[in-house]
Amino acid sequence: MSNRLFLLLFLCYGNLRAQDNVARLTTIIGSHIEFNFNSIDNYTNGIRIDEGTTLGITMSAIAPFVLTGWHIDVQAFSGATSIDGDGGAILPLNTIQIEASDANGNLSGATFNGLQDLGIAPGVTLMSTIDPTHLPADPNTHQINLSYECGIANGSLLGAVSSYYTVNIEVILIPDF
Amino acid sequence: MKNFFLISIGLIAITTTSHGQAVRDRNVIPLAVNLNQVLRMSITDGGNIEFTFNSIEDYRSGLSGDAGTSGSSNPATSDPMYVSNFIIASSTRWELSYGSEQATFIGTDNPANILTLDNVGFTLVSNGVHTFGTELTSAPTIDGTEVSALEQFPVVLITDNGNPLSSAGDVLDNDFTIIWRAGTAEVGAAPATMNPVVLLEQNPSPIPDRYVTSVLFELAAL
Repeated sequence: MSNRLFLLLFLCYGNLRAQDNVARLTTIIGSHIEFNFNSIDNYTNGIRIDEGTTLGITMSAIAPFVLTGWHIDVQAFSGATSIDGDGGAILPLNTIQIEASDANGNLSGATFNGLQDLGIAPGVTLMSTIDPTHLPADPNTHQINLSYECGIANGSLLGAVSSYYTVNIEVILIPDF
Repeated sequence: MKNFFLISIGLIAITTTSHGQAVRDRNVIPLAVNLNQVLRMSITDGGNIEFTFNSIEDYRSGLSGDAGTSGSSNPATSDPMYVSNFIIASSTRWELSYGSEQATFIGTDNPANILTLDNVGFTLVSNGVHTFGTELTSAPTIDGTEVSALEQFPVVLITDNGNPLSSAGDVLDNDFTIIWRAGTAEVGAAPATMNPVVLLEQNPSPIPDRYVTSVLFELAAL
């Protein structure tokens, strides 16, 4: 009887550690982004950083699980609700927009959702794919670029308090089954 | 025994269903917005204003860049001789203070000769997108509607209406003209009014001299 109980617990333990897939985001370029507003033109028209970050995608299923696709979300990290400067100065999160694009032409067929406002969790989806050629994905072949805009879509930063504002953004690679 | 196997299979099925993990990955990218202060004022013309009184009519009616309004003997109502233009570019709300460096005009030939500042006055016009009464306020000129006498520095000439987004802007937003006059005795509702007595009728009469002062401007971020 005790052997059977041990076998049962062993099976339960094994299932607790089960994993459906492998997922990994690799930052290839642009692990830190900075907008420098130095002129009235910057303030009036905002700043866009094209393809400031390049991410490599690793995504594969572990049998018997079958992936149908994957997507990438973005949100402010750790519950941040604003972009914080010195002395209590803040900017709203939607001062910044983020856009994903195909970095090397190997993600044709994927859906890219264009510029998305930075916001709190749950984030917004930058891109998604259900194309079977994107599975499994490897970081040398499947790469996305992130472009950033600040002070454009939701009003200029004219009048904003001068300061050094920071926020951490969280990019999440999510499998779809 | 049969029950035990059934229970075991059930538990295995439940744990398999409950604890299969779809693995995600996350990357954190630090993102910074560095807002450097932009604050600049440029006097584009009229950086040196000089009134020259050569006739009794000049002493009686004064000289003005806005003769039509002031009744000055100056023949040109928009004479650029008596006009100063300036522009402001600021990334934040701003405030412009102005005023004479000295308490009176000082004679250049004889420094003991003085002329009170209120013999000189001005009106203020906004030529840009930002206008008085909406984005901007000018207390000395009551939003550009009255002639103000020249005062000693510092006097807040232009500020905003308290709206954080109001006065910040480029040179197309903040473009101004000061129209100067001297000896026109224009007395209106401004907080500081010009001397109501024209130079010809003042007692004692101003001693002939070249009277000068510097008008300072200070632009500050709010």
